[in-house]
Amino acid sequence: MSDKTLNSEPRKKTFDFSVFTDGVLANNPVFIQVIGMCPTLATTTSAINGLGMGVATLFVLVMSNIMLSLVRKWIPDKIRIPIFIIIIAGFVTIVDLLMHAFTYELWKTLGIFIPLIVVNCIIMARAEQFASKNKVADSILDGIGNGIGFIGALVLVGSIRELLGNGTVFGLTVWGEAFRVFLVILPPGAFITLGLLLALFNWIGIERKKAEKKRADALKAAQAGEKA
Amino acid sequence: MKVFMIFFAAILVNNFVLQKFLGICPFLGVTKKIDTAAGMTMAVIFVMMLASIITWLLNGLLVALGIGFLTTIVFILVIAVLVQFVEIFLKKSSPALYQALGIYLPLITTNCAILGLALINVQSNYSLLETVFNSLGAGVGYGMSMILFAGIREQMDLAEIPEPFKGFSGALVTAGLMSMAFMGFNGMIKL
Amino acid sequence: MTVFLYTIIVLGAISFSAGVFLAFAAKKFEVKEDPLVKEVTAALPGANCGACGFPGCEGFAKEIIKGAAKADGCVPGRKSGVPEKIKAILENRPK
Repeated sequence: MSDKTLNSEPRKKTFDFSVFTDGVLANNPVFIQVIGMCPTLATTTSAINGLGMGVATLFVLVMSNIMLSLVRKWIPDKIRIPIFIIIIAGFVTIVDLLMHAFTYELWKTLGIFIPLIVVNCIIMARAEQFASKNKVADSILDGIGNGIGFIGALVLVGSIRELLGNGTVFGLTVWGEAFRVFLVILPPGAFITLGLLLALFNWIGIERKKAEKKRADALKAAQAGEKA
Repeated sequence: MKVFMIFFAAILVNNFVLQKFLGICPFLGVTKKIDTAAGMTMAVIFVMMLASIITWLLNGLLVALGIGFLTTIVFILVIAVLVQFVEIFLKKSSPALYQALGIYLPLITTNCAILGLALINVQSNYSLLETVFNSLGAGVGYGMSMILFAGIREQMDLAEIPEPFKGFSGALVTAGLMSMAFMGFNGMIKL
Repeated sequence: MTVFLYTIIVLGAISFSAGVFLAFAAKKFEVKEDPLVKEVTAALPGANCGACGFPGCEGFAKEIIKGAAKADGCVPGRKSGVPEKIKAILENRPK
């Protein structure tokens, strides 16, 4: 299913739910598409920071997808990218101001990475590949799906780093100071944690393929046996 | 003297890729060969200088009018237009330069290192001279880590790596080790 | 009130001049390009992330047409049908 969906051709049926699930799992922005690495590495020093960044990105992604799919027919091709960018930047500014007003601490920790949502490859990629070619309803679903996939990845990396570096998850003590690898919280830890996670996902993919091949071979052998 | 401190701090202590996580996508992407990494480096340094000077001037205007909250929109718009113009211009007027440098420009518009640098310059209240040196340092630091990384990856291609670590996962772990080395510069320069 | 006014004036002026400037530049410095490059570029995600190892989506498209890059080289698009689309475009190209 995942191979066929997400094509950039406009979909005939509206509200195709696979658009949503694709963004979360089969086509996860971080682990499968490997885009949006900067915030994934920089803001995952704790689970809550990752969640905050993820939610901010989700908001921008959904809003810009809606806006772009509404105006897609009037945008001339030549100056497409500047127009996309200015629409996205508008929503990012809204998020920036909202977070400054209501979640000041989080705003301060995330710092420069909130305005940098503008240049997050995920948003640009969804705009180019999906929202500029599909109807509003589908674009909303696509935005939510990819956004939740992104949040999931950020929270996963953030939880692992917080747990190993600080002994807590979402600020709740798990084993506290009994076991702490301080390096994981520092910049090198971000690279290595994400690298190992990607390797794990690769490994799962490889093992799956192997198992599939084995099954196919067994089936073939059985069929050959029947014929004989 | 302070400008040189800023310059070296931007290269080593606050290295954009390895300490600040800015511009990771192209860092992982175009570092498969040293040639492409070098081309990208030149393009990044050029655009960083250009963009940071222009955004510095624009910021003065925005602050004077009391609409500082527009920095993100205005900066990214100006950077995008500027980069696209340079690309169009180079393509027509100097194909040789375009081949060497221009082809990397589309990668730069959506590179968070450029916008990040412009925002950092503004937030640190740098003067124009300090902005120029900080941008040069950031660009050189970015390029240095890219070329070093490309060198390591060329060697890694010859080594036998376990299947799951081929591609981005192995590259990220390598970058982590490099980042650890760069942590040695921490606290070396106090501004 | 002045904040609103300035916002509208500044953003309007910058966007308008940028739009005119770019449109003018695109016209003046137009370069003829292989339409196939455009077609392949349109099939790519357009994230310009550089993960394929080539400079931008257009750079990747050029290498694909030259035959120097593999169809599944685009990392963000690998799982969403991009390699198949590229193959289809290349098979249908006029000889």
